[in-house]
Amino acid sequence: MRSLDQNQLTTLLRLRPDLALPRPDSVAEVVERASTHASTRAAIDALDTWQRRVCHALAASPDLISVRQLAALLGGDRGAVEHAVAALRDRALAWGDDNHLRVTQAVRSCFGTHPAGLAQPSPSPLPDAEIDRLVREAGPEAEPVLDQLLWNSPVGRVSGADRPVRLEQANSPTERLLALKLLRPVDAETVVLPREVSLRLRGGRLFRQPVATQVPGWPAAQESRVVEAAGLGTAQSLVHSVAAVIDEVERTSPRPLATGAFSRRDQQNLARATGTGDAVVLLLQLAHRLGLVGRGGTAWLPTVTFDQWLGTGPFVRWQGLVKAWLDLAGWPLEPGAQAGRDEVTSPERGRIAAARELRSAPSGAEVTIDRLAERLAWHHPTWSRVEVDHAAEQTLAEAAELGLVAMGRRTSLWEVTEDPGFPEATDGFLVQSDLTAVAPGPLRIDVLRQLDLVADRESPGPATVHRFTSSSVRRGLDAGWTGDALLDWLTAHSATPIPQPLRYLVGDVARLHGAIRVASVGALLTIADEATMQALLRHPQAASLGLRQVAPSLVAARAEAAEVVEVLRELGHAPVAEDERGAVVPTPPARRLKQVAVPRSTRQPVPSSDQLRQLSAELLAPSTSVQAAVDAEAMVAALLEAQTAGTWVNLTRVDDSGRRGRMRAKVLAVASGQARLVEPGKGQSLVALSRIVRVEP
Amino acid sequence: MSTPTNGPLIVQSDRTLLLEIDHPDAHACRIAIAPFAELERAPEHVHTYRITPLGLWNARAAGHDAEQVVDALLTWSRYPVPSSLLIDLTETIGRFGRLRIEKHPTHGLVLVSTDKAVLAEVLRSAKVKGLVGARIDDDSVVVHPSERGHLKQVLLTLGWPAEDFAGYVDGEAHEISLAEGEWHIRPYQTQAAESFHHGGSGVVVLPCGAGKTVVGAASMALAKATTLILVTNTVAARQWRDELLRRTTLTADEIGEYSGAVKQIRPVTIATYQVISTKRKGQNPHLELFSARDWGLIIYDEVHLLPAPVFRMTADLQARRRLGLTATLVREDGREGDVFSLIGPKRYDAPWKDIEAQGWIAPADCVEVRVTLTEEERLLCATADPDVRYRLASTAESKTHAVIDLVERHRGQPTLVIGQYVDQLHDLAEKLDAPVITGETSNKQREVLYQQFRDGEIGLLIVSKVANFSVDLPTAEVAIQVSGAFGSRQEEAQRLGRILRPKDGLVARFYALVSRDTVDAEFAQHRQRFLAEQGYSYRIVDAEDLDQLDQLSD
Repeated sequence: MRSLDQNQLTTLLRLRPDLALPRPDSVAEVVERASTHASTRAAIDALDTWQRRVCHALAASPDLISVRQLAALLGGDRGAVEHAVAALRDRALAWGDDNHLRVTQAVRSCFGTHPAGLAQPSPSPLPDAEIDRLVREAGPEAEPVLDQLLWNSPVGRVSGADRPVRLEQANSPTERLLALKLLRPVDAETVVLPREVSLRLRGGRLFRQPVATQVPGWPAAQESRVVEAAGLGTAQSLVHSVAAVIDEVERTSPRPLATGAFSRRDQQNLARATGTGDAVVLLLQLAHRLGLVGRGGTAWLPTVTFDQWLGTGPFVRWQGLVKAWLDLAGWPLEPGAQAGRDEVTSPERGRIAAARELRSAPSGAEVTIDRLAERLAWHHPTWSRVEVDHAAEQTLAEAAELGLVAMGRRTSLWEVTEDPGFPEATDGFLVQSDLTAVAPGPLRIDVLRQLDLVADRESPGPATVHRFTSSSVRRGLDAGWTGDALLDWLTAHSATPIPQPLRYLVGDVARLHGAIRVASVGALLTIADEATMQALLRHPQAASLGLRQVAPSLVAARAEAAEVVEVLRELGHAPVAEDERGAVVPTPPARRLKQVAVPRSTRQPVPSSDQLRQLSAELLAPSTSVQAAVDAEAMVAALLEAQTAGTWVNLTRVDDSGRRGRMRAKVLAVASGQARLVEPGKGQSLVALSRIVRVEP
Repeated sequence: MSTPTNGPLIVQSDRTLLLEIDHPDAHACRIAIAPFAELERAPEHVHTYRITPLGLWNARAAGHDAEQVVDALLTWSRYPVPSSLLIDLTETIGRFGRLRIEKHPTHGLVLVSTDKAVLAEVLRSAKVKGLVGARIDDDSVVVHPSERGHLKQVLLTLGWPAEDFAGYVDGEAHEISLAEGEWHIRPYQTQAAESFHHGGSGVVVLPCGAGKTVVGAASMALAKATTLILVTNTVAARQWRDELLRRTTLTADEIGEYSGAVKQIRPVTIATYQVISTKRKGQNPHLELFSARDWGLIIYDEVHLLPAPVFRMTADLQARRRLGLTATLVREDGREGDVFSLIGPKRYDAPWKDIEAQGWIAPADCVEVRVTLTEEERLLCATADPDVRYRLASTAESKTHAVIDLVERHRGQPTLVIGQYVDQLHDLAEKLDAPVITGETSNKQREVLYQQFRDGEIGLLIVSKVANFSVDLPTAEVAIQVSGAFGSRQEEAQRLGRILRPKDGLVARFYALVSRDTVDAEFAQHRQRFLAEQGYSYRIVDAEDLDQLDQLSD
C-alpha cells in the first residue's frame, strides 16, 4: 500500500472516509487503520451487491487467484468481475494483478469462518472423477446429508466423528460418507465436507443464486411538460405553504409538549388552517431545521430568521428547503409523526441514499417505490429489506411534496440552477364590494403583512384572498392605523377603486374606534388651572414624568404617584397625592424570537475532493514544517519543555476504544509513564504517556 | 396544451378557483370550468368557483372525464398546478361508477363493483349493511328494492357514488309529441332532453331564460307516458300549462292542476311543492298523488328549491324516470347530495355561449339606507335586553319616516314593503293607506290581493316575512325591507331575485333600511356581503341624502 500515488491515495480516502477523519498523520497510519477489522467491515458494508459478491468470492478463494478463475466461479462475465475487482483495489480490499489476486485476513474474517460455505482447501484434494464415483457409491440416502452441508456451512456435528469406519460397517448415511472419505472428521464432534467435494457438487459455482452485476435500471427518460409544470406547481406551493404554516404558528403560538414537540392537535389545527393536510409535519420540520421557528419558553414562534428568509426570492427559498430536507431526522410523512422534537438531528441514511437514487434517474422517467427499493437494496446489500422499502416509500412521498417528483415521474428540478419560473411577488390587489381583497399572485412581504393586519386571510394558495370585517379593521386601528391612512394605503395598492361599502365599513369602525380610550397610567393629575397645566406640560423637568393631557383638566403621567409628587414639589407646586388605578392595553407588535440555535446536524461534512487531494499530498510528502513530536522520546522532551515553560500544548491522544482526540492542555508534571495535565474548564487529568501519540506546541 | 404565463384562473390549494373576469380569456375559461366547478361568489372583479367531489361526480355523469378537467385547469391556470391537486382530482373523479346498481334476472336488484376492494369497504359500513341482502360473490351483493334510493344516498356519503343502471318502469303510455311551427326547438334543448332520456334519470342544468319548459316538453315527448310535474308555486304551474299547450300536442283536458285551489289528476298533472308537502295531523294527505296514476315520468322544476320533505317521497319513486330542471345545483340547505342520489346526477349542462344574456348580475340595484336614530331611540336600544335590542332597533320611529319617504318617491311603481314585526307593519299600513298581508291573512284574501297587485289595481303591498311569501309572492319593481334578520345568505338573495323581476328595460330596486350604529347595522353587513357575492351592485346612502341617490347612480 505504501506505493500508492497521490491519485490512488485520494481515491482511497474518498471511498473509505473513516480513513481521512480524524485526520491521519502519516501514510502508515492510514494503512494501520485500513487493516483494522472495523474499518474493513465498514468498507465492505459500503460495497454494492456485485462488489460485495466478488469480494466474498475472493475471500472464499485461496490467494493468487486470477480474474479468469474468479469469473468462472461466479458464472459471471469477465468484464463485470474486472470492474468489481478494480473497485476493490481502489478500496485497498484486494491486492495484486489480475492473475494474482489476494485479500487480507481482515477481509476474509468479515465473511465468517467459512466464506461461501466452503471449507479450507484440502491438503490432498480428491479428483473430480473420484468424487463422482464415491458419490454414486454413497447412494441416494446420502443426498440429504450432503445437501445440508453443501451451501451454508460445510461443518456438521456428529458424535464420534473421528472413529474409524469401514464401508461395510456403516449403518448411517453419515457413516457411509465418512467411510468413503466424502466427509472428513475435524475432531470428535465435528465433520466437514471437503472443499473440492463441495465445489464439485455445486457444479463449480461459488454461490447458489446469482446476483445482478449492475443496478436495476431506471425506465427511459420521457420529457413531459405536464410533469414539469406539475413539479413546478408543487415546488411553488411548498414555498408558500411553509410561510403560511409559520404565519399560523405566529397567530396561534402553539404550546410545546414536554418533549418539546408540537402536539397532535396543534398540528391538525395548523394543517386545517393552511390547507396542508398530512404534509404539515414535513413543513414544520423543514421550518425548524432552517431555524425559521423556535421554542420560546411556552410557545412556538417564528424567529427573526423567518423575516430574513421571506426577503429572499422564492426560488432561493425552495432550494434551501430541499437542502434542509436531506438533513432531516425521522420520517415526517409517517402517520403519527411529530415535529419539533429534536435539537440534534442525525440525517436518515435511507433518505440520503434514496434521494441520490432518484437524482440518478433520467428526467421525466417513471419512478416507482419498487424500482427505487430494488436499487437501494442493490447498492446497500447489508440494509434490511424493511429499511429499504420504508426508505423508498417515504423518500418518494417526500420528494413528491417538494416537486422533485410529480405525477409519479422524476422532474428536472433536481438539477435546476436558475429560477425555473417562480412567480415574482407583486404589491397590488383587487378590492371588491363583498369586502374581499384578492391578490392574484404572491404578495410582497411588507404588503402582505399590512394586509394581514387589517383583514383576515381566507384562501391559501398562490393567490391570497383577504376579507375585511369590522373586527379585522378594528385590529388594524388598534395597531395604529387611522381610518384615512388605511383607505389611502388601500387606494395606493388596489388596482380597482375602493368600493363604497368598504369605505363605509372603515369609516364606521374608525368612528367608533377610540370612542373609549384605555391607557395605562402611573399617576393621574387633576389640574383645574389651565395655565398651570400648560406650564407644567412644557417644563423640561416634567418630561421625565411622561406627562400627557387626556382631558381639559386631566393629565396622565407615566411615572408613579410618589415620584410625580416629589418632582412637582421640587418645581414649587404643592400637589396632593391620591389613590391610583390603571389598566393594561396590549398592542401587538409582530412576535418574534431572536435567533435561535438551529438544530445541529451530526452529519459529518464530507471533505471535498480538493481537500482530500491536499491531505494525500501532505501524507505522502515528508512533513518538515510541522514541528510535531510523534515518537516517544521526542514527545516526552516536548512535554517537559512545555512544563518548564508553562506553555500550552496540543495533544493527540487515543482513548480506550482506539479513537483519537485532540486536546489542549498545560503540562503540570511528567513522571513514571504518566503526564498530569490541566485542560481549560475541565480541570486536571492523568494521562498515560503511551496514550499520547502527538504533541504540538 | 399550453403553458400559460398569464391565464385568467388561479387554482388555490383549498380547491377554490379564482377567475379574474376582466381578463380577456375569462369568458373562454368560464365555459371550460363550468361543467365541474360551482360558482360560489361573483363580486365585480374576481369570481370564486369551488371544486367539490359532488361537482366532479356530476361532471363525470354528464360525460366529462378527468382528462378534460385536468386539461381545463392546466390550460387556463396562471400558475403551475401542484401535482397533488391533479392527482387528487383524477382519483376523485375515478370513484364515480366503480359501484353500479343493476337489475339481475334472479336476484332482482344488485350492487355490482368493478373493484373488489371498494365493495368490501362499503359493505363494512353499518349503514350499508342494513340496506343490502345476501352476498352473491366477490363483486356483487343483493339490494332490497325498496332501499334503492336510500342506498345511493349512503354510498354517496361514503365517497363511492353508485351509478344506477337498474332501469325504470315505463308507466302508463300516453301520446305526447312536440308541435313545432311558429317556434323551433333549439339544438341544445334537444341535446338536453336526449341526454336525460339516455341517462334514465337525472338533472338538466339550464340558466334562467334558457327554456327549461321546452326541455321538459321534449323529455315528455321522448318518454311518451303519463307525467307528473312538480313546480314551485301556482304561478309557475300556470306557466307550465300554457307552455305545454303551446308547444306540444297536449290538449287542455289532458293537463290537470293539483294545487291549493284545484285538485285535478289527469294524464299530465302539474302539482306544487307546497301542496305535496302539506301535512294535516301528521299525515301527508296528498301523497296519494304519487300513486294515483302509473306515472311514466316525474319532472321536478327548480330542483334547487325542492323542499326537504319531498326528497323523502322521492326516495320511494326510484323505479320511475325522474327529471330535475334547475339553474343551479347549489342548494341553500346543502342537500345537493340528495339531488344527486335521489333524483339523479347531472346529465346535461347548457353551453354558456348560447345563454350569454343571462349574466350573473341580476337586474336589480341594491341600496342600503342608513337611518340615524334619535338620542332617545339609541339610548333605548343600548339599555334594552339583548333579545329585544334588534326589535327596537328595527322598528324605531325614525325608520317609519324613511319608509314613507321612499314610498312617495316611487309612487306609481309596483312596490312591496317587507318587514318582520307585525305592529310596525300595521302602523305602516295605516300611515300609507295600503293593505297588509301577515300570517293571519287567509289564503283566499292573499290570492285576491296578489291578483290585484299583479293587475295593477294596487300599487303598494305591505307583507310580513313570517307569511311564507316566498312561494306565492308576485313580482315588483321596488322592494323596501324595513326589518328582518336573515336566514341563510342564499335564501335572501334568491328571494330578492324572485321578487324583483321588472318589465324589460327597467332596473328593479331594493332598499334595505338600517338603523345606524345598532345591531341592525351588524346584520346589514352580512346582507351586503351576500348581495355583493351574488353580483348585485350595492350602495350605501344616508336617509337624509336620498335626494342625491339618483344623481349619484352610475
